Amino acid sequence: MASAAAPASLGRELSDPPSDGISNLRFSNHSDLLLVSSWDKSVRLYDASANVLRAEFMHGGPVLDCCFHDDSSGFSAAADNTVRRLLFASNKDDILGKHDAPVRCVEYSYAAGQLITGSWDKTLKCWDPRGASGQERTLVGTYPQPERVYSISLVGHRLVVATAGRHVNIYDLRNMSQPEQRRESSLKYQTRCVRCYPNGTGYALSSVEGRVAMEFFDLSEASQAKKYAFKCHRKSEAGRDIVYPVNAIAFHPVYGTFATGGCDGYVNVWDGNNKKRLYQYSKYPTSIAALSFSRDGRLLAVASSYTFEEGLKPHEKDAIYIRGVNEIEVKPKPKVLPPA
Amino acid sequence: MRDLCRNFQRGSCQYGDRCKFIHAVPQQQQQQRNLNNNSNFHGFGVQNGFHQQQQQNANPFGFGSKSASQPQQQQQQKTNPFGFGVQNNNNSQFKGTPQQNQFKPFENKWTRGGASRQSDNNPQSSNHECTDPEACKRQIAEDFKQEKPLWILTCYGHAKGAPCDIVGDISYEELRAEAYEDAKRGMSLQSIVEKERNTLNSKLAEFQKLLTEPYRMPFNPSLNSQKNQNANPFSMPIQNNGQHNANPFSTPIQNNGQHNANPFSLTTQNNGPVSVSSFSQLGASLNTGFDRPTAPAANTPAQSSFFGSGGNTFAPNTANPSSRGFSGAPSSPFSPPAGSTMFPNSTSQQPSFGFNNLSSTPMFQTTPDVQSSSMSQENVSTDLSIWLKEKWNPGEIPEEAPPDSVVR
Repeated sequence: MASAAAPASLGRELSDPPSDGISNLRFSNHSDLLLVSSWDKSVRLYDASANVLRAEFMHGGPVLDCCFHDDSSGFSAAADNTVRRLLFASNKDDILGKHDAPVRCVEYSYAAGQLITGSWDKTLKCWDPRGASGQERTLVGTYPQPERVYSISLVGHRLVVATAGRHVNIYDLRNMSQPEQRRESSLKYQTRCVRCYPNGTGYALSSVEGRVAMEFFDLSEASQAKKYAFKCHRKSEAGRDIVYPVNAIAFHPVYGTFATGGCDGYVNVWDGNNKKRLYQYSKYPTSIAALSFSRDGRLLAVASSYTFEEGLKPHEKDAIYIRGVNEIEVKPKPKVLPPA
Repeated sequence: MRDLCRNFQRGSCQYGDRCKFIHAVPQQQQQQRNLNNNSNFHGFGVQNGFHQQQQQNANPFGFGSKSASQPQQQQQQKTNPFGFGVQNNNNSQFKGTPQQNQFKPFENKWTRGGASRQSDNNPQSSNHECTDPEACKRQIAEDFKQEKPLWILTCYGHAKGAPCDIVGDISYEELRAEAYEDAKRGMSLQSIVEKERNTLNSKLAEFQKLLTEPYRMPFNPSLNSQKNQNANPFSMPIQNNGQHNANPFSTPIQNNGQHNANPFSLTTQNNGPVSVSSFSQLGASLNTGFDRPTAPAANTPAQSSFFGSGGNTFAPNTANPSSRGFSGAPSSPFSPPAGSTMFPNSTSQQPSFGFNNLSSTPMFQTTPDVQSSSMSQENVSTDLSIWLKEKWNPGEIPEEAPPDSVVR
């Protein structure tokens, strides 16, 4: 792979990357397989450790999201309005169903055994992937949202949906007839990404204004008192601040700390409980489009891929870096308590 | 030469100026006062980026283990419920001006990183109540001045947890999808960029309008004060007809499932480090297969003039018919992102991501925001007793720096 350019401090560059922007990437829960969706209309499956492309699926339009079901299959959400199931071994895919507009997010819920998709048609749909193909068989339900869906995240039985217009809906998957909670984002500008804490107590929400809000599901005063927001991914230049969108959030599966990636090309790791930043990786060539930790937290996949935040313009090439994660970068530091 | 003060390394020293040890981080003793420019206003510090620095730098945040020079960081981290050396300001013994505090390299400020006390993260913003349109307006002006994001096509709400004042945001994926579609249809690179520019300008005009006109709240029954709800001569209530025609770009991309060649086929990839995004192949190969559907029923003809017509042709909308007709020349203080876009921020501090770690300001919390329809009351500041408390509970930590009266 010897790409002469990539300095080691960014991680190992993945071979055979997509030929256009990367919309999302995910590690499997069972292995170091990495699924990557791209604006070049492909979904690619890599073995990240071996740095080998294992499968590739072409779609009818840019693919905006992807997720694993298990190590033999996955799902994708594309701008051609389709939701597809991808079979890795045979390199075949089939259409599970469609939305009325590009499908922006896809998540598989192990708890519910269902696939959940969010689309710019302002709906959320749940699918049962065990059925045969065809919308009649697989669609479990359609749930209207106040606005176009931008990001979703699952933990346990909870689903958080972030839409345009700063709306946030929280659902219990066991009862999708209406949201468990309806909120407006605590941040003032457009939401970019929402991710639930691995411990299931709340979610982190990032926006285009270089901020992340840490929220909690429990509506009691005590819990709500813990919520806060912090500024990040900003740069001071000539006396002013350049405020970068925060595109990606990824929680470390072991420590519960999380990484954020922004349009400034930096990846920061934060300790949400202690409210501190733990680490900042070297700057990547361009915006960070997506982040994913491997199941054991030892690898971090970084998609350095221009995300169009400044419209159409020339940009650095899109690349994926796989970096090893050192404990020092992600482990919360113990608090030093004063002597009694 | 005197020793470095360990407490200071740790983040707080109760002696302040009186302390007999040097208040500086190692290797930076000369630059202590200059550090406000470099202070990491995110307040997190610790290691920035380079492994090899770990051992060398005293970790000024006093996590202890890494720091070669100051292994024991004991002494009174007094009254710090969160353990991040929240220091100086809460200690009524502390002498020294608030200004001075801010220059401490790893100061844990709970204002949102602002250099001045009247910083942008003014207490108002934490819990703004829309009772006075003037106050709302000030809040808006403040936000725009200090925190205007790079991304223009955003929505905006000046009060947290409240509906947007400016709706109709577009994500960059949507913009991109539309641009790709346009390219497929044969639009030239030039006109695509032009179209994008128009969209941006019209959104900028919306923001400008919000800034300059007297503030009128979006209609929202959940807000307390309705008394300021004047008839807005400019308002063009936007109905959301609830159909799935959310896409402001109005033409869903459908495909009959064929595997079409990528029109932007980037076969010979970028040799140089910089490549135009897939539009580089615009001239060629726009033959593929994105079948254009006939316009979905819900689209109005006006949709096609979405770009550049300005005003509220942003179809997606929530229930609030907030105003903002497109009023006139996009003379906005914010330049379109073609050039380097910099937004003013009077409180900026350079978070130099250097390794000799500088300031750390904690993530400060928003005040509790009860999820009921009414905004929770928050006593924003005249209660000085908060500064005299020994120990703060979560949720009551003031966000602004203390007034002078308690600091002395």
